[in-house]
Amino acid sequence: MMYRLMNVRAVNILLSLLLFLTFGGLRASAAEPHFTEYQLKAAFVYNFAKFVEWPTQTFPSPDAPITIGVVCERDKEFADALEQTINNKRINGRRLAISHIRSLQDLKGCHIVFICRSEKKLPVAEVLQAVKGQSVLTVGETDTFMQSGGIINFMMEGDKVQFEIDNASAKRAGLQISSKLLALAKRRGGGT
Amino acid sequence: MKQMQSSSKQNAGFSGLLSDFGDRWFAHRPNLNLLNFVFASSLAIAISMALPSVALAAETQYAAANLGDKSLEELLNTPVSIVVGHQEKLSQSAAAVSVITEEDIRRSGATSIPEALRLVPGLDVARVDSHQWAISARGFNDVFANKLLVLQDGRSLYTPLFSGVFWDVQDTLMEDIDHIEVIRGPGAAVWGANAVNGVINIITKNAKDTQGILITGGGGTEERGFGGFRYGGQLGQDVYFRVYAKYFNRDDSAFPNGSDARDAWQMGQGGFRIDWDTLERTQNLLTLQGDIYGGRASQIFNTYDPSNPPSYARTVQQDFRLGGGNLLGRWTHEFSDTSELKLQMYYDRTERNTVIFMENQDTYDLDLKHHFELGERNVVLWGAGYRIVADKIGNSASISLNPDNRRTQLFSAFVQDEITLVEKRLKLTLGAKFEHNDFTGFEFQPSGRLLWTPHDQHTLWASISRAVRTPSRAEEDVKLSNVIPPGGLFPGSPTAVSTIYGNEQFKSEVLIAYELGYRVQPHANLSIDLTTFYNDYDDLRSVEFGPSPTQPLTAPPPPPGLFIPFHGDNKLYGETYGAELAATWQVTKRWRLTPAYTLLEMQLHRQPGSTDTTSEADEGRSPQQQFSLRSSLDLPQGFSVDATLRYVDRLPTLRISSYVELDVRLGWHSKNNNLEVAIVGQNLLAEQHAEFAPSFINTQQTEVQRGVYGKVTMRF
Repeated sequence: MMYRLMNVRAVNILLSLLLFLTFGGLRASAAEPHFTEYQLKAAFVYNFAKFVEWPTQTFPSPDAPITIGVVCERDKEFADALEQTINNKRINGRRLAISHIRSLQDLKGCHIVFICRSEKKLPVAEVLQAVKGQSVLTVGETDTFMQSGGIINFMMEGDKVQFEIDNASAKRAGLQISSKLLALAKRRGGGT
Repeated sequence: MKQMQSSSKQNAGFSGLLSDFGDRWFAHRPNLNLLNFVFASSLAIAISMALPSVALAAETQYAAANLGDKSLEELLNTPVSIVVGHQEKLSQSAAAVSVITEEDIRRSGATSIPEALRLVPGLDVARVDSHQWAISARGFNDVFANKLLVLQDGRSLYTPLFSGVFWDVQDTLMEDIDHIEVIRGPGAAVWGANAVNGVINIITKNAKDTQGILITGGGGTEERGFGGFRYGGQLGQDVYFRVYAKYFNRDDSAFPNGSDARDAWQMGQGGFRIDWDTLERTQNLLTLQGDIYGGRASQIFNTYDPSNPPSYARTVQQDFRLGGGNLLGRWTHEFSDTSELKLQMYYDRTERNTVIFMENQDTYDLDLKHHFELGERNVVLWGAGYRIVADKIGNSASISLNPDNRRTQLFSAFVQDEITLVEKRLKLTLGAKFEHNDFTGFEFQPSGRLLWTPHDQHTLWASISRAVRTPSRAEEDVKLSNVIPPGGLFPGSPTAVSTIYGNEQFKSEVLIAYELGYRVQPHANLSIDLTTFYNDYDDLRSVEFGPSPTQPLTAPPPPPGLFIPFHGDNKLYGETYGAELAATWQVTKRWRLTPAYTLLEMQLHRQPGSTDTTSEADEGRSPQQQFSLRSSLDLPQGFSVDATLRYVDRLPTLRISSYVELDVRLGWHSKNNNLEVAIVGQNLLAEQHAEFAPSFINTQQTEVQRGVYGKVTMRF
């Protein structure tokens, strides 16, 4: 009995310690809002849409939405974050819509395409090839994305999200990127 | 703001309901002191954590929705918060699941699969001697711990001969392990018999992910020398392969007096894997893999020897041979994003040649698994399997099996339906496995699991399942004899032989398990996982006095003194209950803390009429409490420091004291990761300590010694 009582006390102490540890840490870091990488990237993608002009013929009607294709087969996090970000927002009177890309056919009608680094089923090169010559703003997040012909690529610098732009590719795609956006890019290819 | 209020209200409501249920339930069981405490404290934690964190999570979400309104300049200056990895999928399972990753294993400094399993919260890993381990979850630990199912890439490592796992032959190149998934609690509805207290699934990497050359090697005091080589290449478009070879030489452990226990061992192993991966084009993946291994281990056996009067016992030091191999083929076909079929076949051979026992065992297995979506709300998983196990035994006076060769078959089928009751919030999983084995005939193992996600950061789950541990070949056919020296029974008693006989009427051990779990991510950098369980066992193995009802009683040859026959039966029942608490706290981007605490209480009882005098004491073979704290710290310039502190409670039945031990690894890797150097100290706090003691097989009590080794890994 004595043994059991002592054990209960030991458990009690350990649990309290754990509780204290976890909440000590929690309080210390709970002051400012925290964002995940994909929440930030979703906000960036929404902002890109504001600073890019598409040829008028890419929209079937004056109030047709700007469609953002998400190529993230396994990872729902980006799509969820984007959904939250663009919810009820309009750019130049246009709504924003999300399209979940599962095959290359789904890319049709997209204005922006974001390709997750975790994507395995649709290789970056194939997606970029499929939208070549069309006015699609391609956004990626891998080291080789620009070499493969992507337009905007995210990279991490410490704990900050930065991006690079290949303006030459953008021009070839018939996209007009505002100088403000170009000025904020870490690296720019193909001049302004 | 609105959303926040409603979720915290919902939460308080549920907590209230739970504690209400708890109060009423415990009112009738006033004697379950500890259980009461476990539940009360779990609830206290759950409630105290749930309330503030719901508010916090809602706040974060609200802020995220407004993130889009920030200017680009502001966005560029907003830091990304650190997120605890690998949790997303885990938090969505209605079972006590933990995963240890390739990185966890590398950074722990573990040089073998059993040692790597020490990283898993809730597992009880005890090293018996240089090459034997006792590993279990939720009690009943032993060298032949029989309630834990272990698989590697879908191949069963559980031996039906003795019910348990020979850990000394379960190996691969540690760098080829992708992850190890551990389910505590019954997994029988999918995995089948013997997944009673848990399932361990060791998954190796796809050949595509092991391209290039890897050379690793090192040595030290206990890990005397080891080396590994892997080469991965491409055979054609979409066809990737790797070949590997490894060798190690481990030092003796020590006797309690500090001298060498003469149980050193060395093993060599090689293997390959080919993946023809055309999932992207034709939705097919073909995998072919195989391993072959062999080695020698030293051991001191205490044997019964009728030709050696007057003691009739002989202590034999033997350098015995171990070997085996396996070949596995798997076809994976994806019909669509939501439907996948896996067809797998394997062959496995093991050979063990000791002075008290020789065995050759061949296993042929065919396995089919298919999952698909049925309508909007159902994900159906079903499968079927067939297995043949054929063994050939070399008998000795100490251990013999009658008949000395036997072929057994196993048929199985299972179906499971995961039903989404409320989108993203409430899921019900119903499943059952039907099996037919040659020992006990049909077995039915159903389970029901409910997963409730009241909020994105909170998950509650509950389950009820039935699982069985089917008899091993030995439990039906064994004759196991030990010599009791003069005076060993009572003062002046003559030399005696005790023999345990198998029993063909031996039944399956049955478990009904109740589990309740709670996972919370109160903050982006903190996740907490709590599981409580109550296990109700029936028909547990007991060792009864008297001859076996089915085996002929053949009095052993001399000694002329006493002969005491025993036989196996199912006259034990019992309850176990406890809690497993694990957390991951990413303190800063470079520093992670992983505490874990396990509490276990076992109560075993004899049925009326049982003459068993020893099995109830199995209670004292598993630690009541375990605590561990792991710290992983990245330093600049590629340096890293990892430390694991662990406390394991005493094992009164085996007279093993509680111990605290510490492992530390200092690592450095080059910028391009092509070169890695590590110095690892294991069991640093004491010169030597005991973790377990041998049981059925009469080997000697040894202790684990402090060890230091260095390791270099190169990749091209």
